[in-house]
Amino acid sequence: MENTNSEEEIHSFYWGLDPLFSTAVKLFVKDILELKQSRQAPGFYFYKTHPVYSVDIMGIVVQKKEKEEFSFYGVDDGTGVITCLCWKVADPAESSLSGPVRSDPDESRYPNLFKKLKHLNELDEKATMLEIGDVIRVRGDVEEFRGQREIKSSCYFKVDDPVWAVQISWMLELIHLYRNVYDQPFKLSEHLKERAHALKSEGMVTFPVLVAALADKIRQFVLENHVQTFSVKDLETVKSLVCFANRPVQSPSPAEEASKVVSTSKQVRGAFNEAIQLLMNAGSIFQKKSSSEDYVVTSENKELRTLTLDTVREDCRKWRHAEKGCSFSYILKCIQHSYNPCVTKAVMQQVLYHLEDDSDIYSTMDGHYMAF
Amino acid sequence: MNLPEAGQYKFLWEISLGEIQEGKSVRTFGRLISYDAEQSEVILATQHDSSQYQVIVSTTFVEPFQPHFGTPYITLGEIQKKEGDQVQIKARILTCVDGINVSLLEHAIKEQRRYFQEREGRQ
Repeated sequence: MENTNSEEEIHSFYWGLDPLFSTAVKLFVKDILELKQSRQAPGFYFYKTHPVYSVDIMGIVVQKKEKEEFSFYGVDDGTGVITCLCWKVADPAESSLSGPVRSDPDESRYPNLFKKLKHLNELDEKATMLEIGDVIRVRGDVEEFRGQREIKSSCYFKVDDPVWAVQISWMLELIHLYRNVYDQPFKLSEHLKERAHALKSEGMVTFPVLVAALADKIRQFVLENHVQTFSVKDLETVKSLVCFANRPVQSPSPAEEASKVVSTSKQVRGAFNEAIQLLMNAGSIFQKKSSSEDYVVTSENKELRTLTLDTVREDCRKWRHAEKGCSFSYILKCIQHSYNPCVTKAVMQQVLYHLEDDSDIYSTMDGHYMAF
Repeated sequence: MNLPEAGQYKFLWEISLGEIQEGKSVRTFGRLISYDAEQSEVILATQHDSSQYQVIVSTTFVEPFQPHFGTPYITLGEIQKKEGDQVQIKARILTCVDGINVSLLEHAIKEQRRYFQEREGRQ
């Protein structure tokens, strides 16, 4: 079970959905040494099903090698030993923060501040000067250098742990994290799985995935070109959209494939119709007239926007709405009556959302709006 | 960088009973009960199941060394066999941890072992 899981690497497009991916993962050194390299991207690794690139460790310094600008520390946490490349803190005498200390005329004006700054620099230096036997905490990216795995630290410091309390709690915390988080598989929800599969099988998608992607494309197209109204026939003259709708489609089951041979033109028309339905449901577009084949792009329609704003303004002047604001259903009714009965709830929501986004109106409570 | 082997946590009685292979890196802990400066050796001791266990720790790598008698120490080093099959640890690190919660450390070590065993069992 576990093996099949680890073989099936989740597409990198979805790595960000794993909350572990954006953290420095606290791991035992042994597991960092055994992390599986990703087949999709260098510098990325997998602990079971979780994509990992940044880690967080604590252990004893068992080896040390000094270079001019950085030190190598061999860190042993009882499960493994790993090399950590740690950049040295710039010499306080040279660093830009405290460099001008001696000559700075401000020093006499703010003696306390400069004293504190010096003290902080000293602390900083102490925390980053480690000897063999010291306890260190290192956070950084996992790297491969001359066939050896190491951590390129982004942050490291000496841990003051005279009675071992920090290390004991670290061990217990990690066991808890492994059991409750790391060893729990990272799963994509079903509809994402289908899309992830589509991404992998290079171009072969199922029809619903194609429709959803086409809807995104159409939305992008009308926004980029400031299209105000369009019909399906108009869309069918746009080459890039037609090409997209014409992609090979995988049928969900082989039996269906045999029974249903879909001609490409039929597929294109079907895909466009369904994509339009999706856009209508989302409120991105609406019909010009109830039986019309022309569609209006919600976000490009100035008339609807102005009408809505006027309605809210007008209504707020009435004393009974002065406090609560104007209700959503009232606005919708007004617009359907005075402008177009095809304006749906979703469309109205979009318009109000944009108005609120531009600070023309604000919501006073759930489903009530006021104008400025 | 040539890294040493990881010093796994071992209980003093496991080392004292000769359960650990020669040459293995270990980390263990016990009370310091004697120090022989001439031989550069300390003895760490611990109670377990109502018997006392002792292990000799060579301090040649960690001299100069100021012993605090009766306080707990943590050491990290390699298992060596002395003449007469006596086990000793060649310490690379020997730290005084006066005030350590020994039973909590024992608990954490057992938990860690249990976790790794369970995980390996599952695979």
